Amino acid sequence: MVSKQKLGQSAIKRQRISMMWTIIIITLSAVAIFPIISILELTIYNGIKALTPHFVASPLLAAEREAFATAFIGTAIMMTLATIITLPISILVGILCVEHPNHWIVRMCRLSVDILQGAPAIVIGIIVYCWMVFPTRQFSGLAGTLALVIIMMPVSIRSTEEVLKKIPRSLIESALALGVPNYRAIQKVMIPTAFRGILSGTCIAASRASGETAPLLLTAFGTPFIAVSLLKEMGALPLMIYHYSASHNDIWQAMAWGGALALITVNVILISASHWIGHEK
Amino acid sequence: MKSKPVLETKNLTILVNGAPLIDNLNLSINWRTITTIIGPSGCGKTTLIRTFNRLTDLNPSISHTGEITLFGKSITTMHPIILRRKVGMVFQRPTPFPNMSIAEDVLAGYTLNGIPLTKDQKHHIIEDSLKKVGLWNEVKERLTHKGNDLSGGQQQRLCIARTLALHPKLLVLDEPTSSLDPKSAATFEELLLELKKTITIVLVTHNIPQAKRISDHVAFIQNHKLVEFGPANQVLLSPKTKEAQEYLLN
Amino acid sequence: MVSRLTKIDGIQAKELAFKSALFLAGIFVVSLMGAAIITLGIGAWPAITKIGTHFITDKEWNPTLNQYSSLPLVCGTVLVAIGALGIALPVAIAVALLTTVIIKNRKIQKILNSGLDILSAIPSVVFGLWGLTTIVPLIRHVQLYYDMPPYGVSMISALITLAIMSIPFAAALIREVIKTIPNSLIDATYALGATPYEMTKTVILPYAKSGIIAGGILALGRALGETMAVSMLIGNVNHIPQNILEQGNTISSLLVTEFQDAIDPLYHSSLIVLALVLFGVTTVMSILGRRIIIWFQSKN
Repeated sequence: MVSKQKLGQSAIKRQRISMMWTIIIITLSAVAIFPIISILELTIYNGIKALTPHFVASPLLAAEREAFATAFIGTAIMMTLATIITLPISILVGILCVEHPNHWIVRMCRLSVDILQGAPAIVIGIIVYCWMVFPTRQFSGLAGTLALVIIMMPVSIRSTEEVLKKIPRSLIESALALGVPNYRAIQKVMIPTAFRGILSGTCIAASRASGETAPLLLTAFGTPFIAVSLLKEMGALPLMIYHYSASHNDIWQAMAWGGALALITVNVILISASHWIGHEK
Repeated sequence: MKSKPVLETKNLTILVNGAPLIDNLNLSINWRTITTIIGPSGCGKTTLIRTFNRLTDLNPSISHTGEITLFGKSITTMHPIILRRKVGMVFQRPTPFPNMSIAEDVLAGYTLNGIPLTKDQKHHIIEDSLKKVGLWNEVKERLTHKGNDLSGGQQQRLCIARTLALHPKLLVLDEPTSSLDPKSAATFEELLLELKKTITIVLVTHNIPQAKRISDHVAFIQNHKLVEFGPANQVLLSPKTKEAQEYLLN
Repeated sequence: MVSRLTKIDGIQAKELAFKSALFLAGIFVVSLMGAAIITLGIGAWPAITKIGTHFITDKEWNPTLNQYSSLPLVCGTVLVAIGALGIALPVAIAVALLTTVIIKNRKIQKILNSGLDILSAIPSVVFGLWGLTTIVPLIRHVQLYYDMPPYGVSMISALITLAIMSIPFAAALIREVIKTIPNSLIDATYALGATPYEMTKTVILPYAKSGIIAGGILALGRALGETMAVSMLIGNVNHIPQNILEQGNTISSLLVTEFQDAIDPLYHSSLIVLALVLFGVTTVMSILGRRIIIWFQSKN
């Protein structure tokens, strides 16, 4: 028989242990939260300081380093092109995986997607370098776009497949029962129903690709001049950040923060777009 | 006309992965009647009716031997698309097309098939089909709204409307009221009795009282066989076979 | 009564065309992977045949002297990744527990989760910039204290930043795992009078163990491949560091800094060997981690 007093004491002791543990958890979590605040604060503060009209619009700021306009245009061109290429391919592959899940080609395809998704971006950059830059001795925006496509595709395929799997089979069968051929049921019922989700997933893939630096260093390389030709070197926001951050010059470091602010803003816009598209009724 | 069979099966054996699901089934569905197929879960009722419009063709593990004829013509010689316009099917859960309005949904059988229609034809089909299922007055003010906004019972009637828009000869339903509340189910049953006057109906159901209320003929399937088939009163109230007696009179 | 039927002759052909398009897309993806691996293999072959086992046993990576060994790079990579995970994993578990067990208020949970999402959306290069601005000056002070040259960039700068980068990913994974625990089980444990600590110890941690391990493996795989932030913060010196305040280098950081300038064929090829190794290791970890998660999900 344990006395009431003893029970009460052990209960208090257990509460104390739990409280200490809660404090440890909160402390550890602070380790995660402080950097968020620090990064956001520095980015916004330094970035806004740097975003003078001169900074944004001037075509050439420093020898051998790209200007903001160059970087922004380059990112816009390569990201748009990469998305246009990735979207149809990932939709087709997504449909393939859902329609013929046990076919050996589909199993290999899934394995390929797994492998490509885990590949470090620098390795993909090296591969595209070997394919396009080395033989032609020319860096190009096209090579950069290809690298982005390879990076975006696994993410996009995965999310497309998830969205398509969620569509109830009876919906497609309702169309088939109306005498609609299979390919039309897919094109006119399955895809339109899934389209919101597919677009949402593509936005996420795009936001991931927009921040990639390493592969672009080896493919698009960056250029100080405003570049719109895909056959030559092209600038990009992450490249600009990288090039300007390496210096000890305060002004140039500030420019790096300006680029960082722009890049994070692009990311936030893409991720918000993804949520908004995915959840809107 | 009354005794002419719309659909007949002769020695139909359905195999799933080589093993027989239903063996040697002989059934005939008569003109403008309601035939109900009943039996314990998993006995193959749903697979059976899916052979009627060859939806089972899409499943490589399902095959069948024997004959199924529609108005005397074997359905395997028909093009499956033409067959499916003659045999309409409504599924257990209502499936309004999410990207279509009610009006577009009714016309789906035409638009998804690329069949062109004039504006007048469209109006006519929409009004006609929705009236047949008793939805016209309820939705005529909101034809541009999405089908998903309707209640479950209304959605299921919408599914029938879009099937009827193609003027099928046979309407097949797979447990159509199992996801509806009792009131909507009752409305639905009244609808079927109304529709019987213009179209032949086959349905699968778990609900014996429902079968009692609406059937003209009943087919009872159990243990891979058609155990009993005949007029509803006879099969449901005074079944001849022992298995049917055990299943129905308990 | 309208009962016109559309032409049905072209349908077979269109079905076939569509099916072919689907399979072509699939074959394209498979070929992409195949071509990638073949490219790396071909590129790496000269170095593998010429250098052989020296690649693993030699001590120096010194292109100017034609000395290529993976050892310093592998050491650097492993040290930085494991060190970073050592910090990140406990924090990730803490954060996951914080947002599922301790804080019950949905609104605050949502804010914290959004914060983590934002952190995971920040590109590596921005983390590198932040590390240069925030962490490196701090480390400079520490280095001065220990009478070391105050470069600032060092193993530890890279390690800390990499840890912070890994936290959101690992935390999200672990949180997903914790969410699969049935609420009824948690409620029942509380009803028996358990404190949050006891509940975590007896219910959550055992249940989520394999999920946490999978999360750790996946996060480790990502940390091994992390390039930009590490490259900007580690000092890029190709030797095995004696202590954590020294400079070092990782495989991915080496690749991004030296690849363009590698004109000598053997140099070029050696770099590709490193790329192949990195690719192989991260692939294995990524697949392994995912298999564990699938196995874990099927268990429930």
